[in-house]
Amino acid sequence: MNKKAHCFSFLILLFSLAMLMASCSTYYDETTPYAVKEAMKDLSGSWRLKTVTRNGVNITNQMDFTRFRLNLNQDGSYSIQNYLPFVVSGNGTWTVNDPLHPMLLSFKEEGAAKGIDLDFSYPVVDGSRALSITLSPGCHTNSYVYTLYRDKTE
Amino acid sequence: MRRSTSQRVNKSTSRKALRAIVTAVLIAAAVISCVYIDEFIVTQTDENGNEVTWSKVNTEATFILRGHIECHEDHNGVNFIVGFLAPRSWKVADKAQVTYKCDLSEDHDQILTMSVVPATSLPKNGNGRTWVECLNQEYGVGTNVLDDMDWVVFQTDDKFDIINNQFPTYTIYIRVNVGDKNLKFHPGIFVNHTDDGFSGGTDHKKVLFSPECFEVIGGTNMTIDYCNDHFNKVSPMSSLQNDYITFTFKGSAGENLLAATTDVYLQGTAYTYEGGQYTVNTRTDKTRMIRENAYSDTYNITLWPVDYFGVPVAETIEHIEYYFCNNDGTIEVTQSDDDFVQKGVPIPNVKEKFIFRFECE
Repeated sequence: MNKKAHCFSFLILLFSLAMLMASCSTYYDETTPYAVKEAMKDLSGSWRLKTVTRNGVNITNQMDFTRFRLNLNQDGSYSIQNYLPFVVSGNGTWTVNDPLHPMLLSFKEEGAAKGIDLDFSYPVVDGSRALSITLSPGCHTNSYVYTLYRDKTE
Repeated sequence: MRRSTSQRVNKSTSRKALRAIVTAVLIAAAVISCVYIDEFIVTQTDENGNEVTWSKVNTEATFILRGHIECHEDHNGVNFIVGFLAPRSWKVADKAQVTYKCDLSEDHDQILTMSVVPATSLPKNGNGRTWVECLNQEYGVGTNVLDDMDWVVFQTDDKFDIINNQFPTYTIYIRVNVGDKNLKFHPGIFVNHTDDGFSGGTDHKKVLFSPECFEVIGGTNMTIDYCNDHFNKVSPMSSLQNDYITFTFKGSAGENLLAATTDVYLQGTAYTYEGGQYTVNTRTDKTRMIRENAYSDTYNITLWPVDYFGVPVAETIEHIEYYFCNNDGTIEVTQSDDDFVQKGVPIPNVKEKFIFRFECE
């Protein structure tokens, strides 16, 4: 009887151990509950010039840049209103290399064999996204930075 | 009694303070190393062996900088820095050869080399700016009046250890092709070293603009004058029709009636390679120039030439002829007025306009 009791106790202990081990290994949570899903960068919209620098000097107040509009449409087409020197002159299509982390903005004019890639930055300024583009539409020795803001009147 | 003790204490304290100040000043003086420019020679030797301040187009000019260092502290592994200011058209970064000799090398007469400092190599105390940015922001174009110039910064290819009480001299040679354009400017020079890296003081760094105007002659263009104010100025000077170009009227450049008026306008004609002529001779808000401030005789207008002159998309502007005038068009300032003021050339019956050619190098 004593021997039977010992044997029973041993079995219960063995079962408990097995349950304990099983409970440790049966569930593994692969999700990262604190991770935040990064938003896609949507560059579409009507953009207007906020500042223009020429060779590092701000020339925004030296002429009227306010009427220029770069319309990046959601269907992938673009158009320019009240044209000022830019990397393209006619209408066409636009793309970015990576919607999550866009580094290159490409414009392809209608009828052009290939597009033009632009380095750009997409900083948050005063709570809004700005589009900052460096270009040399005239002489290659002159460098301009266009900083565009989404047109709030659109 | 109490007062005299107090006075003695005060005197003793003052003496101690004075001694401390003197000691501090002496220590400070002892640890300051100074870099000096002794002479900056811009003269060249012509075919007849004469010293001249000009070179002919497409020849090589040599600018010589002599200086010395008074070292009162140890610096190890230092590259010496020299900056040179010249017109952008010279392309100094690509075309100049910079060499030097220095008492710090084993053979004092050995000619050693310098190379352009890469843009990624920032000065130690430049607050994140490149050497060129530091020089542009600190000194600009110095005594020159046109801004179409570049600072180019070179460093010794060898590093040096310089120790307390060493007083080496140095000579730097900048050889550069002067290009094919007639021009005159005040060459600028800057010296520093990497251990200082454009710090706030002036002990370790010096800048000098040659008081002499160095000239390039023998080309076909009208001389681009960086040395003297003229009635007109264009920026950037290397521009094409899709650049934004700033035209300036500088009323203080000489006697004229236009400076006394309140409104100044830019008038002109764009000439295209295709044979087109597009004239703007209206005096409206579009053509009115902006006065820099209420006390200034300088007026500016920035424009996109294609739009300003209404040039069709299919045509390309070759040059612009322009002049400045008052609101009823009765007072004009032209190239002829500038030539009269600058060179004493009599004003002809039909005045010549200023010319700006669209060129990009």
